[in-house]
Amino acid sequence: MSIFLRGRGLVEGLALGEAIVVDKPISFLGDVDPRTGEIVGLNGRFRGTKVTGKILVFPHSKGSTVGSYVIYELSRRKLAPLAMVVRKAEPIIIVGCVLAGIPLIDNVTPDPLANIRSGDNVRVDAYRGIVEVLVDE
Amino acid sequence: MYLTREEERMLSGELGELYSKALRVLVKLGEALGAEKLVKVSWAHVSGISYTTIGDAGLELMEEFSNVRTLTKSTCNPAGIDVDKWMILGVREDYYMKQMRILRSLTKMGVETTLTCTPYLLYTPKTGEHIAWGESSAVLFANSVYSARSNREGGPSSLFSAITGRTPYYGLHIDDNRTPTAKVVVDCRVDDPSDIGVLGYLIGEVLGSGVPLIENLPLVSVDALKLFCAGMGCSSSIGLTLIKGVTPEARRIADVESYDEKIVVTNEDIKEVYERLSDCILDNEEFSIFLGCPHLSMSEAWNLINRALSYKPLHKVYLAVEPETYKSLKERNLVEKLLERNVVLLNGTCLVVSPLKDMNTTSLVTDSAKAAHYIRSLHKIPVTLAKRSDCIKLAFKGG
Repeated sequence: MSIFLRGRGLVEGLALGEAIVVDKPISFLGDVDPRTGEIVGLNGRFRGTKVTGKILVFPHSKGSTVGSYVIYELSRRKLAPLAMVVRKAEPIIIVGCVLAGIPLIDNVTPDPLANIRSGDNVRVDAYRGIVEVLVDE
Repeated sequence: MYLTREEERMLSGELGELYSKALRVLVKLGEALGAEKLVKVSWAHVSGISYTTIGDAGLELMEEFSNVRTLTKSTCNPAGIDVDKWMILGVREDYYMKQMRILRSLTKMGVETTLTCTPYLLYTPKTGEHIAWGESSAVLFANSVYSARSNREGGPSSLFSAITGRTPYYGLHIDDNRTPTAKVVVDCRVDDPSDIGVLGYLIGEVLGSGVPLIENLPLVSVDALKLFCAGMGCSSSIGLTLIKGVTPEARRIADVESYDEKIVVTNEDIKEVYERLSDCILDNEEFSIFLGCPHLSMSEAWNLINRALSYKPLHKVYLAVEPETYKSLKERNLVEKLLERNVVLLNGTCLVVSPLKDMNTTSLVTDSAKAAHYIRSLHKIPVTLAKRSDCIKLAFKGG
């Protein structure tokens, strides 16, 4: 059984993996270490958690536009998330995801932050704008 | 999104993978923002070129894209250090090497290394000209003083506009989005360049976004308008303010329109911002003085240099100018002469984006609301915002 969420596929691609849900806006410059893929900011709540190889679910990005370069550097070091699912995409992650080739979906309904939990298995189809949460029987 | 045949070819990779990637970024941005097409830009100003702000991530990206040639006239923002005097300012060699790699990449791409936040002092933007600029203060200046058309681009989007010569057609490129959304009544005294910077900061802070119409801005010099735009750009996402008597397109705006919002700025408001942007450091003997955010024009620089040569400096003074101004002052042997008097003429850089800790700068007094705001938040050192006339009095004995 699965829960289907629908949104707008902004950067095309497919991904299947474990979700990490961050309930706060992320400033990629400062919050994520591009040399380790670990979350280092966000008041320490997620400290040590890696975004690498995960489906990263969060409200939106904030802060410096250098954040785009950080996303790109993560991908060059093979430390990037598999996909990003956000409430609202703005230029920092759009630029970063296009450069890095990371599938990106925004405008997702129902709210991805309420319907996806960290550890869930999630399939992302950013060609069609579909997020499928795979629920264990 | 509608693309011309030329753009389709670029996107499909006919000009190479890097052009394709750069254009794809702009197309995706445009799609997300609801742009129907791209528009050609005659000038891109690239922000985010200091190693302090973009780090290794930005450096590597610049080097990767250094194999393309920009398709439009391109200028760029200040570097993280004075590449002429970095050594005597205490900057580490590895920092210098990395900053130089960024600058070499830009040069290879065909970006003029103008290293300034005031590109409009080098070339004049034309009314109605579509441009893609980073640097919020310069965007406000181009839109509001010349009626050129630019959105507030970030570092990456300004770089990709330089490479492709295009930007998404939305926001301030479109007439309908250049009409006033709020009216500002200025009811305060402005008798120093820093006051007008504070006024801009305050209007930005109160409104946050939109297009303010300012009817009675006190008569100030073009030089002071730089500080006004810098203040407003740093406290808001405003990219255009219509100033009666200044902005060419403000002539067409009738007075009868109704606005969503109306604000009044008073002397009290101005005073409150000075206080809020100041830590008490004037008792401390160690502070330095920083003037030149945005970069000083030649006439401002001359004025300050004359004082520096006539009166005994009491504190270290940093004066920031763009490289052309620096060059002509250096030819007059003024750089060394000023250094002997503890006055550092900074070439193509800005303390906001410099490695201040390495430079042993622990507290600053400045006349720029923008510098006070950012140096405090980015470098976590105490800052005091003071009028330019007071900065001069603090800097020079009898000045």
